Amino acid sequence: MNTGKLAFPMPLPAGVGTPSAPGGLEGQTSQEKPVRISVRRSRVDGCSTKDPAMFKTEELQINIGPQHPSTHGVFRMLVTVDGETIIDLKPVFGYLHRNHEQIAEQNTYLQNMPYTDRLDYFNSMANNQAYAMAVEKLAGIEVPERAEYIRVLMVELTRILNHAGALGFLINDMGMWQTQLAFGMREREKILDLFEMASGARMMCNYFRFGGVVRDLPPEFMPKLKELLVAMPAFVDELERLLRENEILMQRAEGIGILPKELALAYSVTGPVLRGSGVPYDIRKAEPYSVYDRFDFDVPVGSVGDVYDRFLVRIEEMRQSKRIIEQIVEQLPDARGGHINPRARQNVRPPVGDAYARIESPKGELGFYLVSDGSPRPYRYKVRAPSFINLTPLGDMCRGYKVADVVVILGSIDIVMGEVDR
Amino acid sequence: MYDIVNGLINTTFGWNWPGWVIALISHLLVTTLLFAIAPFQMLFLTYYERRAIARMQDRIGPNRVGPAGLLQPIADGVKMFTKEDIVPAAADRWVHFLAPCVVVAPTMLMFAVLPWGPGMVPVDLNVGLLFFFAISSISAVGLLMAGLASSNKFALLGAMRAVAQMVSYEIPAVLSLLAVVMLTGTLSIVQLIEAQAGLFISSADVPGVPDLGLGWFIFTPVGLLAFIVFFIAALAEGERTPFDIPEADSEIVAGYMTEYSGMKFGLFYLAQYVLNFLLCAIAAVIFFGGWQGPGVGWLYDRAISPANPDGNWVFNLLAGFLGVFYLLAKTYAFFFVMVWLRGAFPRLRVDQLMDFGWKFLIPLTLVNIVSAAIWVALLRWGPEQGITFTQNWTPILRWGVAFAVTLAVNIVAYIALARIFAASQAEQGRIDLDEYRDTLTATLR
Amino acid sequence: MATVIQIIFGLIAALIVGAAVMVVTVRNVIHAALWLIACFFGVGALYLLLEAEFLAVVQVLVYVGAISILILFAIMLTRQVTGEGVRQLVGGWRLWLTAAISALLFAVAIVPTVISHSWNVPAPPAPPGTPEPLAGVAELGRAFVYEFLLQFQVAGVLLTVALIGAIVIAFEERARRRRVLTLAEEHELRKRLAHPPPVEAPAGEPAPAPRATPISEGEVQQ
Repeated sequence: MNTGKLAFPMPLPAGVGTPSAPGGLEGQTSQEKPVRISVRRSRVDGCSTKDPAMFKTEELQINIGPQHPSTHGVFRMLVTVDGETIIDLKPVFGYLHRNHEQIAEQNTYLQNMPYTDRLDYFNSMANNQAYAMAVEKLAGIEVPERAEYIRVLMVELTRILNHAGALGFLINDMGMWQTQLAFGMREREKILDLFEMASGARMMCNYFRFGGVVRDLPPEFMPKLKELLVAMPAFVDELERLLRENEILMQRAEGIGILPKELALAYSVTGPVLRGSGVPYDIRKAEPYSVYDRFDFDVPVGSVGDVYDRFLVRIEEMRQSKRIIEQIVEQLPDARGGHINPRARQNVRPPVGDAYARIESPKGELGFYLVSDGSPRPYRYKVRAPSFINLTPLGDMCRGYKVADVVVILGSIDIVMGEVDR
Repeated sequence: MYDIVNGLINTTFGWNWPGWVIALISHLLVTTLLFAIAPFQMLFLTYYERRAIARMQDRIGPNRVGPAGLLQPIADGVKMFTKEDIVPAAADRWVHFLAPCVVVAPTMLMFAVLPWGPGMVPVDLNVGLLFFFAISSISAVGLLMAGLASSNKFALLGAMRAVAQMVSYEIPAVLSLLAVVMLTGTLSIVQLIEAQAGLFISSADVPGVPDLGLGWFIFTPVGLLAFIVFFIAALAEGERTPFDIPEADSEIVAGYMTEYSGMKFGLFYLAQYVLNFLLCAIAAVIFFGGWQGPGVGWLYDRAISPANPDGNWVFNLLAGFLGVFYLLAKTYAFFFVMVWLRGAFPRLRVDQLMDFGWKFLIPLTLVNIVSAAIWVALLRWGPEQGITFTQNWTPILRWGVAFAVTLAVNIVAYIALARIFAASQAEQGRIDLDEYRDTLTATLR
Repeated sequence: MATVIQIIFGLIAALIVGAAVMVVTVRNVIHAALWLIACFFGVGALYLLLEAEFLAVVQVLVYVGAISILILFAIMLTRQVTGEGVRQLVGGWRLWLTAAISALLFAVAIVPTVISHSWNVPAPPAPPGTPEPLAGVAELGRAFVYEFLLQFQVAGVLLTVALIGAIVIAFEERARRRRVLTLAEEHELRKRLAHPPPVEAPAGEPAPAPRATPISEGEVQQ
């Protein structure tokens, strides 16, 4: 069952947003069992529906968070448990709310660029790209070919570092201490070194500008990147071997937190969570932006929608990102146009109108909706944050599982509170 | 110790003191030594664990305080002492205060029956092994007290988990030791060690085997299976990964210790590491011969002992050093395995833990007891017990047949039980939605 | 030496009696259980004083390590732990009646032993052929399988029956006892309620779920 769990649908036709239904995932799942239903039985509750007076148990309410080691920030889950079984879970957030969208409406467009770094502080490059794309759409700024390649390169590196970190944190939440996290962080450090080389900062990169990137790649960047590409498959293989062979880890992950495909669509979750549930939806394929239509890559999807599938999808995405980066390394020298559109002004004053730009951020669909009233400040600034939207099914996903599964399910969603609360 | 003190005072110095004074002196000495050794073991173990796990995680670990960071645990201890002692307002003050004491005291008492070297046992109880586990079960009371008195839900959940786990895993631990007790017919830890002289074959089983101190029980099929089960149960008793569920920091913060700070928390910590040390030591003692090893027996034959009052005390020292070295080497090797597991495995879930203990380990130990009985019947019993067909066999033939039969029984039992367990795990949680549709529909919200 | 033993005995006995009194007088149930543990412990110490090491250890193992834990566990699962507002048999004629009844029952058990036992008389040398006194583990074990075999077996069967009974109670209507459906189960159930399987599914084989509707373009794009 482990092999072949990841079904690769046909690469979607460029420019068409429809997942190819006949040859893709639908065909895959209908041959196998549709959904592994009911994997975990709760045996703690001794409550008989026939005779409620017998073995009556009392529910216990626990606040997991806001100060808790594994809530990934200041996040609170109001959990109602019966013994160890969860009968209700209510996510409570807003502890990190800092008025991001209001502040952005007081700033000029360019001043907002460093603010977007702080949304999902693990993936500042992806945030930058989504925001830059929205402003470019609004103001009608062309981006040179080379700058697009550099952008895609940065975002794909971001994806790798995000998944390496997210899997490490998830395994840490399962109780494996920080072993995997430490190795994930080691890979992340290498990528952060590259970011530092290019942008001067490691986490809050602030690298993108409207019409390109702030400066071209330094000459020592490419050799380092090639080194990284050589070393990375070993890390990913190691991680995958761990996931596929560690008995306890598989017991903890398989069949936990199942999100059925229809419900995943209904909850409008995106990113690896949605793909783990078996929906081959990736904006890079569904609505190719930037230069993604020039690359050859696959979109991994899971079949069950449990934590384990989300694990595997993330691992495979790291491989696919590496594939994209390799193609960038090949094509980048031929790309023309410099690192920034020479006509792009540093501060823009877009015409009246609105624009929505979205990218496939490592956590899901990250969208920026901007309304311009012709002034140098956005009239309305709205972030469609994948962490926030992916969090909505958390309460339902945890129901019926054990307290120990909550942190695993939360970790498999992969949230960053900076993006959830904004 | 009594022999050494007696030999020193009455024989070497010729002072001729009465026996009870010497007993008092030797007991006080031993107690003081143990109370000094236990915390230092704990200090060293924390350092050892942090360094070892740092290696596994591609880091260096504590390296600032003292040479190679060796004084880091002492700095941590000072920090513990100087921290504020916080008692929650809603806590049950006295129970909250007593809980760490009730947890620490039994672990200290367990040292009473642990033999460190030949003739170096504080008290040679004839039920030493049982004493060890009886005392260790007391600390569960302390954990429950901590959980109940803290008036914290995480503490309550942690205490429930801790006690459920300790109570369930005590059974496989004791049952696996029971098989070894059957092999030797004694509950005294000292006699258990003495039975492990020999060379791969215990000299108690086959007379005339050269004594290199290597007749460990781990070399018998019964002992091997018992050791595996015992070590798994010891991981659960000592709350080590993958069974560190009671204090799963990512789920229930610190479990029963959540509301403890300062030195009270330090005491829990101390008790846990001392308990881990003791469990490793007892595993080394029961299955790996304790202080037995090449040379110890030879040295001890020439030392002052009840059997040989005219020996030389220099040999006492030498045998003691070598014995303690062997014991500690084995113990630290086991502790390293614990650290290793901690670096490599996530923790199980509560229900998985219970399933594993009750449905797999306990049946396995029961089978192991049957093989121990076969071993004893083939090796020790004769016509008086009604076993006549082994009458004319040589001891080595008896040993070989017993080895083969018990090995076969254990392997078959292991494979069969593993299959049954895997099948039951796969079956678990399946629910036929159609059969119970009406009942389940009522539960829909 | 005898005086020392007597002093120690007195201390332990005082501990036991004091703890026992506390068990029945304190209002907090947890404290009562903890005093009970102290009482058990004192009894174990008494056994040790009588040089019955095995019994002492078993006392600690069974009573302190297992039974008291069960008691505490049961308390933990009850709601009113502190005992405030709980009507107890404190004061009034009920208290005295209860005390009298329990004292009477205890007397019925203990008085014949006290009267018939010859105190402070050194035991006469046992005539050859009588069984050895039950002290060590080996003797105890031998007694169980030779002299008291019937009682031993009956107790064993009783415990097994109790265990099976507990399992039967725990497993009764196991599927109906579950209240909490996981999301996947609930979804599957709803799907089946909306589209009942056309044919009766064979036993043990879950009915084929209706095929998921293909994702339409509009859904994906939104």
